[in-house]
Amino acid sequence: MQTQRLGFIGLGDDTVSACLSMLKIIDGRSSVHWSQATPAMADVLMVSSLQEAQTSQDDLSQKPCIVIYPSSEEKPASAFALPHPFRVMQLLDVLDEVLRSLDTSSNHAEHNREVSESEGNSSLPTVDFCASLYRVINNKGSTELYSSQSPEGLLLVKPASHRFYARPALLHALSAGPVSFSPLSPSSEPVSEGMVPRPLFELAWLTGANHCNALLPWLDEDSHFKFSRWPSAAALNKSRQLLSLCALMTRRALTLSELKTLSHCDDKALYHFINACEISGLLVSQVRAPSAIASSIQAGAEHHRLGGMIKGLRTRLGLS
Amino acid sequence: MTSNEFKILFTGPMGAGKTTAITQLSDQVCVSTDVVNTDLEQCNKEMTTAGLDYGYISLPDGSGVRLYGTPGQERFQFMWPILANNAAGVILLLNGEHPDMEAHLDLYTNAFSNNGETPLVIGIGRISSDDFARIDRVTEKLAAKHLFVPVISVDVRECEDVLLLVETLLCQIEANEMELMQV
Amino acid sequence: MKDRNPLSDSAVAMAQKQLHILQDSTPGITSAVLLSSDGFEIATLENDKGKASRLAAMGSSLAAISSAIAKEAGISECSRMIVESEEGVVAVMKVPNSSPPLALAVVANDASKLGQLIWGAKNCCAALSESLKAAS
Repeated sequence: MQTQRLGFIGLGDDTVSACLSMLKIIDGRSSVHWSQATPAMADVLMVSSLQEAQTSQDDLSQKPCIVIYPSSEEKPASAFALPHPFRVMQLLDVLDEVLRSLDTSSNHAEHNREVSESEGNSSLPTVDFCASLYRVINNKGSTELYSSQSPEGLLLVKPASHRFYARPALLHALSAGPVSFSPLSPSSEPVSEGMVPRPLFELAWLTGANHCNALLPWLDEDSHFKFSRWPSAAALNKSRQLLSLCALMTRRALTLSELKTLSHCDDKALYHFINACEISGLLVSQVRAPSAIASSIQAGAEHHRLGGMIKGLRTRLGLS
Repeated sequence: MTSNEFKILFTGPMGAGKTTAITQLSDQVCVSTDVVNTDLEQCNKEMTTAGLDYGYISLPDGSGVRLYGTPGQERFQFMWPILANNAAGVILLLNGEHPDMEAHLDLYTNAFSNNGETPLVIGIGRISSDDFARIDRVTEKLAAKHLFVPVISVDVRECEDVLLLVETLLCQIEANEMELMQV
Repeated sequence: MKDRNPLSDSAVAMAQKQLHILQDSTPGITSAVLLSSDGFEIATLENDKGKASRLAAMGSSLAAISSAIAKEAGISECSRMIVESEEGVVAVMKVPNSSPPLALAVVANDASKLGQLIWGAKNCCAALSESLKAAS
């Protein structure tokens, strides 16, 4: 396996640590092994957006630089850029782009990634539909339409308008159980009559249902998870457990075991939910929680000062 | 706040359905302070709330939940802090068809979210059933302001939708209480 | 201040005149606003337009809440509200038979006598009612 060295400039310890942890997770799924090196010894540099101008001035500018910028800000006009907090697939994407630009082996796309916006799919190996859906939803590239084939029919996805299309027979099959799809690829297939538009989160939800025995392979079980924004409520099926999970996960990053304790969700429901939200691009994984979880959070929802009122109201309104 | 009651506030621009939502939940006929609406350009409704809406849900143990609705129009903003005082949570109702919906979103979240400290849920009515991106755009906009607030497409004439807003708010209140227990 | 007014220009002018008569005939009046029941100012003695707007909105809320209390208490329709302090009085009084429904909000300092104020405001409302009816 080829080794490439990554150097960090102007990034905090936490950021470097998060990146290295993610690289550790994906190691073995890629044909390239990434290791840390000093900027002088590195093949590729990761640079804070604040330091970018400085770096381009000096000798290091010959090396490919990945500019790290806060996800709340606009993407800088650099050749390679990566928003922080990091997401595994985005990290993989940008490293992939850098490697291509370094003219290394094209087989490094062996890990679970699917669609290349610029190249088309003909040279890529067969990959998981789920990973391809993640890529399509989160890359927000210039391709308007993607398609996938299944024994039950054609699936079309339009990420920019948050929708997918399928015939009723396929929709029915999707809600009944797993459907075997080919990976999504750019398409110019027209949306034919009889194909019904549905919200894209629904597809993420149904796809997530096929992965409810474990987290998706690129997620780290030891991570702390939170949401970048509130998920589409429609797909939460008005489940109080999921609504509670969302309320917690939009406030702080939690481990799987904390989520299980707090939500009283069974494992399958929790994996399903987390995976669906990851596919939709809502999940943020953190290597380290920002603060320690006090024992009070283990006590559950009922013991805070409004617990009795809330319980009574739920009973009264028939919500319990 | 008395120990055996809490209050939920409904707010939002005129015509978004505050009075309707409170009426759905309230045990008794709501107190209304509706007056003749002379500003038909803003909203083509016969009546408008000039004071407040008030409803009540009695609970089995003798306590209760007070429901307050703010007047919708901006000139009654002086009522907002009076009514928001000691509210356990706020339900903001918006009209998805209104051309100023984005501006309303900003105005009301700024006024009532207390920088994300007050439990808040947003219900948007009259969203076209095939506009799948609308809700996501709103949650993205809020997330950019560090407001991680549930946004739900609702029809407040449907009791089930109003109950969903309440349930979501209760989950938010619980999560907030657990955060406070951390401190 | 809103550009549009539920009353015609001539009606507004008449109302303005009545407010001046009220001020001239009743000592201690510092401000007066004729308002619609939904809180828009129709005519005012107040030079500060912002203040006039707020008085109109608050006066309408007070009137609306007072009506609700009166109804709750089982007393007949509330026609006037008095807010009293050591330093002065705010009175909100409904203009009878007005369409759209209108009310008069009057602010007076401690130079005013409550009885005189109520009497003057009542007369003003009656006059407004008559002249607006005639104008429509």
